[in-house]
Amino acid sequence: MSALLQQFLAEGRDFLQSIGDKLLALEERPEDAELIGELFRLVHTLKGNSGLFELPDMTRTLHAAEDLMDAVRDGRASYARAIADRLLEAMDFVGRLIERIEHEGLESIEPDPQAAPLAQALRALIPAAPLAHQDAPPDSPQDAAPDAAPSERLSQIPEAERMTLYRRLATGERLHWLRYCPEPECFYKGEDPFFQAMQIPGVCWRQVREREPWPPLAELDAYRCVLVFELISTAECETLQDHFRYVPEQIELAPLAASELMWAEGESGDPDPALIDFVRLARERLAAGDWATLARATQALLELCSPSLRQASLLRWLHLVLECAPAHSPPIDPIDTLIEQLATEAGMSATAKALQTPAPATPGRTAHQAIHSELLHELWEAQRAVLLLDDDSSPWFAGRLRASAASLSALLDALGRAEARPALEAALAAALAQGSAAPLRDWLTAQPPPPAPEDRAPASAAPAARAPAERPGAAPGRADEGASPSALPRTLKIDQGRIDGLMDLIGEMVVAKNALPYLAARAERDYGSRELAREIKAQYAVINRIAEDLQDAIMQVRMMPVSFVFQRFPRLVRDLAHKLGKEVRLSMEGEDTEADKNVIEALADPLIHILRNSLDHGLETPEERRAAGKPATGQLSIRARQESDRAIIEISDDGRGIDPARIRRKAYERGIIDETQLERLSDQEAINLVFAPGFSTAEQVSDLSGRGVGMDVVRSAIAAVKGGIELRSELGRGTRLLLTLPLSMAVTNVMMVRAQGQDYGIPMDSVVETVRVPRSAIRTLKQRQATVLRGRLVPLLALNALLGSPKPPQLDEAEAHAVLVVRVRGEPLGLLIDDFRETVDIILKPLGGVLETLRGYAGTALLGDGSVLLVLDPEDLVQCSN
Amino acid sequence: MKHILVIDDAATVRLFHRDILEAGGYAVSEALNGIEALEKSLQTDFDLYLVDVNMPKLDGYGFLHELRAREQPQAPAIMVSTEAGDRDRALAYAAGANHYLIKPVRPEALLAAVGLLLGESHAP
Repeated sequence: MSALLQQFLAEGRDFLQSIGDKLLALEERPEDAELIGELFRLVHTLKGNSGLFELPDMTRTLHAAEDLMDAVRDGRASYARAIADRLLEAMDFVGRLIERIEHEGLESIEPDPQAAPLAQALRALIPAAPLAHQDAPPDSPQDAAPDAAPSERLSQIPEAERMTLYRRLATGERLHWLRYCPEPECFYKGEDPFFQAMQIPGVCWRQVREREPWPPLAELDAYRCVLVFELISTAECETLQDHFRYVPEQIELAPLAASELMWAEGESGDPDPALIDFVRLARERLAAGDWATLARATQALLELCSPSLRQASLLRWLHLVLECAPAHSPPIDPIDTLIEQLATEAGMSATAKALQTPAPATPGRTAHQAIHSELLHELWEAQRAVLLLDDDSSPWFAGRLRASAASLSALLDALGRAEARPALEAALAAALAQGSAAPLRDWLTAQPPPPAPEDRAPASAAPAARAPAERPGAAPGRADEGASPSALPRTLKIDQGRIDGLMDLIGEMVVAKNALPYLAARAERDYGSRELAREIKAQYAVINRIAEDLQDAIMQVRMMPVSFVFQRFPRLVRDLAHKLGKEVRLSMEGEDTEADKNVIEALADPLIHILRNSLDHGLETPEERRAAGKPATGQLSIRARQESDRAIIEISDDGRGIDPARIRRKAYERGIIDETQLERLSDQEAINLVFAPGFSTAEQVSDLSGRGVGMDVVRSAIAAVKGGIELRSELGRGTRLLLTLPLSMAVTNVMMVRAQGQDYGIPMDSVVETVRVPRSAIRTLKQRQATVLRGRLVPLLALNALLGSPKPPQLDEAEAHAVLVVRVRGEPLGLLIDDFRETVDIILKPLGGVLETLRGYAGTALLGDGSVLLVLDPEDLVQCSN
Repeated sequence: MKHILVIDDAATVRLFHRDILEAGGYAVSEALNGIEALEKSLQTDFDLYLVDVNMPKLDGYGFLHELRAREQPQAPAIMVSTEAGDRDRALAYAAGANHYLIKPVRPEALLAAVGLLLGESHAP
């Protein structure tokens, strides 16, 4: 993939994101002219970029979007939701194209049937330019100049059809263009639009199309008319108006002008020397009024060039205009315009399609030289045009003269007429002194113009075209000397794999450095060298500090703002709310809160699910809200903030809240709780039941929140990145979800504990406290052990038993049990263990291979002495032992 | 080596123009908008400017106005626009452009125009 294409794709994605953001912002402030201007500029630039590649569908769609935004900017169309919908749809389409190019390459892009209706739907929103006076006579073909681009009304008519119509107009017939948009509810009024359209008299062309892109079949409302009829008829204006006398507001009617029909189809070809010759000849013949030669030359070239090219289309029109015209007085204007459009096609001014690689092989030598002389002329005349501008007192007037003189001076050099430069400089000085372009103008008039291209001997005097290869001393690659240093990039884009690799290395070093204290201990114990041991410990302190800094640094690199995930939400919420018929206002805060990339990425799906739940089940419809005495628009807010080493994300709505009684009932019906629990559960405990697997409170399963994928999935996804989730809800007032996430996941702090003579690690995230409980303080309730800690009953479980060993936990000298209190499902649980050890920072590696399916373990870690520590997942351990 | 300032808010277009001009043997600097271009043109004497019309902060016309209002030797400027109309061309000339190209530019047309406006004579 070329660097240019890569740049285009990357920039394109950024543009699409900004366009999406701006469109949403515009819904809040539809009158914001600056925002509208910015939006126009973004679409315009993106369209310009797409024009660098062969992407007709993308360019066409963006062009329509640009025209629509232009209409909004000019106040011709006012910003409305329908406009936003169409534009977002179009941007999605462009986004999909970009995705496809990214994955499958530019070659994979084939014409997409979606593009035309999309562009059409966009254009349908642009109010047609005010129609010509209905009874004004149509332009006669004689004085009509062809339009470069088709008018929106006629763009659907194929060329052959348009030519037939042109012929009829040329014979003096009067034609009318008519568009009939039956109202969507017309079927209920006993109207038959199709019959109505078929009965129109004098039709010579017609088409039926859909007013907007067809919805998916499932959503199609067959009783709604979405058709538009467009046709051209020979009938008189009055006849047509009479035909539609019952629905006059549903038609647009205009006389058809010949000039509207005349525009070229087809793709631009490569510069064609034959065409350049033709244009030169045609200009000459036009000036001389020699129509017969012009017609012959047109016919001759037409036989030479491929009929699918744009130039062929222009030639066909030229031929037609000459053919239809009275022999001695053909219409000058359209002929002139057609010839000039052909000149454009010939590359005689620079408008043809850009090549994808800069100036490849030198094109045909004649053509190249012709372009070059043509250009010399054009530049010379451009300076004349500048000097012919009225003198003004603008502050840039003098500079404009200087620049023009500098350009002329350069052209003199290029022409090899450097001897004329002193006179030019004198003229410039005089002009500046007088504050008028006149002296320069006079100088220019006195100069012989650059030799016309025709007079040029092929090889000798022609300024050699600057083919790059011919240029001496041209250094390939960047030539940046003199470029200001501020042009250097300040941001590096680095492949994620490299960062991960670096992090693994740093992780290994963190573990490796932990070997030094063991080494120090051995030096003292086994070799009796206390001195050496002390030095090793001193070195360890230094390495330890550097390792910690390194770890911090790499963590910083991996940090990403939550906005990475949040930025999709405004659109998501808007679309969903729209679909559900709810009104929602989304507010977001703290988008720049950062956390590790893995954490942020793991957050996307759960958050989307939570938002969907809120919109689908939490927020009421406007009617329900008004009935409940709330404002019709619901509030949904997402706030992110950092609290010490945790990132907190809070999602709250002011919807109907969760009804604990209903949850209890549902949970009971689904067998998630038994009768005793049904009575015993507190409201908060009941609310937490939504996290139970297989729980779904929606009365009807909607297509939004999904089927059976409940909050349990959300909770496990959050748990997978060591995050916690907390749900609070107040019936009728709203729901609040609190996600607590670690800032980074690379290093885990674990507490080591001893059981059955072996060490295990327990993540500090789940540890609440460590206590020693005298044997006498342990009670047995229904064969389960428990103790009272700070006035609260805490269930106890022996770690040995959880690990499948019958051995009772050991007691210490004071006849007490070591109890590690952990939090499981938000509730404290005491684990009876043999003894506590130290806490340690480890790099947690998940269990691999056959051990992967083993429940109860979070993974393993390598300790400094080379031994392996098994790290437990208390929550999973308790769950799988039940 | 002649030094050209490419002014365009679209990175893709800047890269496109840079590739063409560098292949033609010119040194290229870039500016993202009129303001940045004005700042850079104070630090460096560019031999030619390639100016986009539509840009945030300060557009191509605004840039040319400010540039041409300076008391200093004036280098030629080529305006690059998506608009093919005569009105836009005249506006560009009035603002102080010396040539007008339509986007996307054809590489050889751009190189030829740049070469001529820099007074590079033909091969002997």
